[in-house]
Amino acid sequence: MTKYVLKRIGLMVLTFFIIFTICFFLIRALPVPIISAPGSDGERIAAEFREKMGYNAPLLVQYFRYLGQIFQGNFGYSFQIQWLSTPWELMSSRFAPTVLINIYTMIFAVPIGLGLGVFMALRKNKIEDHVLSVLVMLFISVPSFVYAFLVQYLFGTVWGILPLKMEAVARFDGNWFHPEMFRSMLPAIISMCFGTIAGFARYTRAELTEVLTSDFMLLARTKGLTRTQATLRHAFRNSLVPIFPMILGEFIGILSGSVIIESIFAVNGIGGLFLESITKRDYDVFLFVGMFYVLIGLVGGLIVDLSYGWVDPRIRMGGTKNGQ
Amino acid sequence: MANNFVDPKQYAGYHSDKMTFVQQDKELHDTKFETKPISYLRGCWNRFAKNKGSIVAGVILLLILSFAIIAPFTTSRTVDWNDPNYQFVLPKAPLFEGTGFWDGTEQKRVYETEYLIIDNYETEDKPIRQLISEGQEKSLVPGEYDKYYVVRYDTYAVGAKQFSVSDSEYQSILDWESKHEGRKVLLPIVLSEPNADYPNSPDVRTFVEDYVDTLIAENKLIAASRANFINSIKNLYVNANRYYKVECVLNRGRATTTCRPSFDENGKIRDLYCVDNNGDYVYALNDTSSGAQKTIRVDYNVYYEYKYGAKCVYLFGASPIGHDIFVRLASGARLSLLLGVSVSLINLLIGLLWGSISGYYGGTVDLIMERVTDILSAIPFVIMATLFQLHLAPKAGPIPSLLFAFVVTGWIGTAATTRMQFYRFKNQEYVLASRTLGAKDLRLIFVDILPNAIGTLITSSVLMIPGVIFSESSLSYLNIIDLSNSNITSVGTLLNEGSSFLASYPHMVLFPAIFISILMISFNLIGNGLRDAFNPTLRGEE
Repeated sequence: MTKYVLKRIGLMVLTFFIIFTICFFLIRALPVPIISAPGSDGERIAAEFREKMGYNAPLLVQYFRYLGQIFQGNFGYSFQIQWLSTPWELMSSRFAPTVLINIYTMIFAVPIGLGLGVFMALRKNKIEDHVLSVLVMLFISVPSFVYAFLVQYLFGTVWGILPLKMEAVARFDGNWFHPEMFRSMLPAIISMCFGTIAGFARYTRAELTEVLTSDFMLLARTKGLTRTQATLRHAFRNSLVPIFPMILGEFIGILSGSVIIESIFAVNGIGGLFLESITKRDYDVFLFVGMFYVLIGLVGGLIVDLSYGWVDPRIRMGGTKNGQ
Repeated sequence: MANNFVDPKQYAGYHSDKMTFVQQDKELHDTKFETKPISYLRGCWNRFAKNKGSIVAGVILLLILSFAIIAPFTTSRTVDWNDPNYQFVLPKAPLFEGTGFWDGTEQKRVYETEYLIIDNYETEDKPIRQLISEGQEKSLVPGEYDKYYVVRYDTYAVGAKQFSVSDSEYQSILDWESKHEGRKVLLPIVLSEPNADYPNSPDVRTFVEDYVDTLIAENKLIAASRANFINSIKNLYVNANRYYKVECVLNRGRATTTCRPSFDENGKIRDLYCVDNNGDYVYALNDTSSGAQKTIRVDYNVYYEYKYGAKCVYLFGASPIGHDIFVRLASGARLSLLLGVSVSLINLLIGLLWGSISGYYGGTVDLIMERVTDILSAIPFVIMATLFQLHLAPKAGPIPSLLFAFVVTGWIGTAATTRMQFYRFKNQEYVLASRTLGAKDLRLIFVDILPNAIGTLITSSVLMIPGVIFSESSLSYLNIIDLSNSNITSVGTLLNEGSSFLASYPHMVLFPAIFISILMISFNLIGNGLRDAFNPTLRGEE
């Protein structure tokens, strides 16, 4: 097991390194926009600074220099978003809104989604199941930004019960957990819930219907368990085997956030930073946030894969044909 | 349980000696099937056709397709065409004219001054279609009340506009007017300055100065604010719909002075129309700067009819600068569908080849190819798309670079499916038999093994299309794909344009949002139907 995990981590690091190299060269080869330091004579200062920092050196030299810098914890500088702040500073200040909104979404969406899925599986092929299945299909298909507009228009404009955009945290003395702050996050949370709930409901229903028809369920009923007992203790637990990694995957995904939802509700989060780094051509920040996305994806995939073995001991990780 | 036993009474009327075998003296043979054999694809099609949801989705998709193809031919407007005079007009379908729904009107509350102004438009189409109710509400000044009216307001009644035309166009307007009895494109000119050609004509400057002087003489205004006041009233006349002498309501505690049309003792509006020495109205003014130009004031709706041959209609409403959203959405639909289908086809091709080779040969080849897909699939699509936009878009244009971005990673899913099918089938006996009979690799790959995967591959290709459309519209919404310099629009661009006006003009977002939702739902329904048809054992599961 340890050997398998180490092998996977090694592969992951290698993959990450190759992607980083490709992205580094592609980004550094891009034409640099006019950069200006604050104050008078900013353009000359910026040009001089970049010359000294080696941004004009040949790409290969830049590459090895950058690799050296990384080990000293220096990931480059932001030239456009905020003069000479490091990408790490920029990103750490924007973690809170992204993570909070996504966690709230998960808190609402997971129980509702699982509940709906269980309900649909138990009522399989009855009218409730058919109606809900159609709804789930519709909710999965409609893109998230359509919900965002709908929520913004209905809750914000027509009924006027929720703010149109997210408030700045400075209004509440930096308190992310202020009730008003939560209220201003609600539109984004609601818009993200629709698709997530539908996704979980569909997946849970599919898994649970499969488990409900298996032989051990018949045995459980035969030995005298009530339907509720059998469903909760045997069916639901077993159906969680593939569902749990899915939840875990979503939880890791929350760090990267949704760029489009953040853009619609003016959430000053990671997605917003990514977008800003593209529109302002702030390449060091772009590289940093981009690599963060890659890392989240890789680590997420690895953890999800490993969690299968943890949730269900019957699944052996890295086992060979001979079972060794 | 008693009812499980045979009840003797039930068979009371039967006697075994009266019974004979059906085939007493005949020999039994297998009978030939009366029905025709059904091929695999035919069977799939039959199952697909039974799925009502998919058929409905297919019909909707055909409608969307015909909308995308036919829409450009139904109108002379292009994607870039715009008429700023019709900014933000609401959706209007001629069919619903006068119903209050989808006819370009809205219910609106206006105060008395605005009511007087729009009620006195001199144009053919009046902004007020119908007076619904009127009432009073407390004014900001204590003890006073403001009168308001609730009206059905026609957003298309843009009123009069003033601009310059060439002599020849002026002539053709006159021709049009003489051909169409009773229709007036041209409205009398209102002079802003005294004009030497028309010494007897009233003009705005003289009127405003006189008016302000009388106000000062009546002690309603202090003399110091004379110049400011003249300017602010003169600015009102920038709007070509002000053809009358105004009267200003003063000292009501308002920050801005409200000015409304004034009427003479007979209730007739006191106009400022330019008259020549014979007392006739003047309809065109020679431009002083360039001789061949004429300044005219027109009833813009009639002018539009003269220019384009029909009344102005925006089926899906207009953007802030008067773009036709209907035409732009059709263009966006074409882009979405074209991109979705071509990406899915190219990916199918690449994935098929890659997966076949990787799955069939296995071993080292497979290992290397798998590492390549591992790396490619770990790159988030948004980064891939951005890099392609930044590098390729200046040379190849935004759409081809987007296509490349989709193709670079999109085939991985297809390749994985294909590879898995090969692993499943390549060691089966029938493949072995084929190999023993001397079949070459190519034949084994494409004739013996690949057809097994066809159902899964077609399904995943169809389901890839909505994903591509979603990604494309998201990226163009976020402006990562910059379409502003090309004459193509995307649904995402339209949504982005509309999102800033969501509160006041929801129609700008409504139609693109409905369109993309229906498109995604249809593709998903068809994809599900295909999956059920190709693999009936999966029916009812997800």
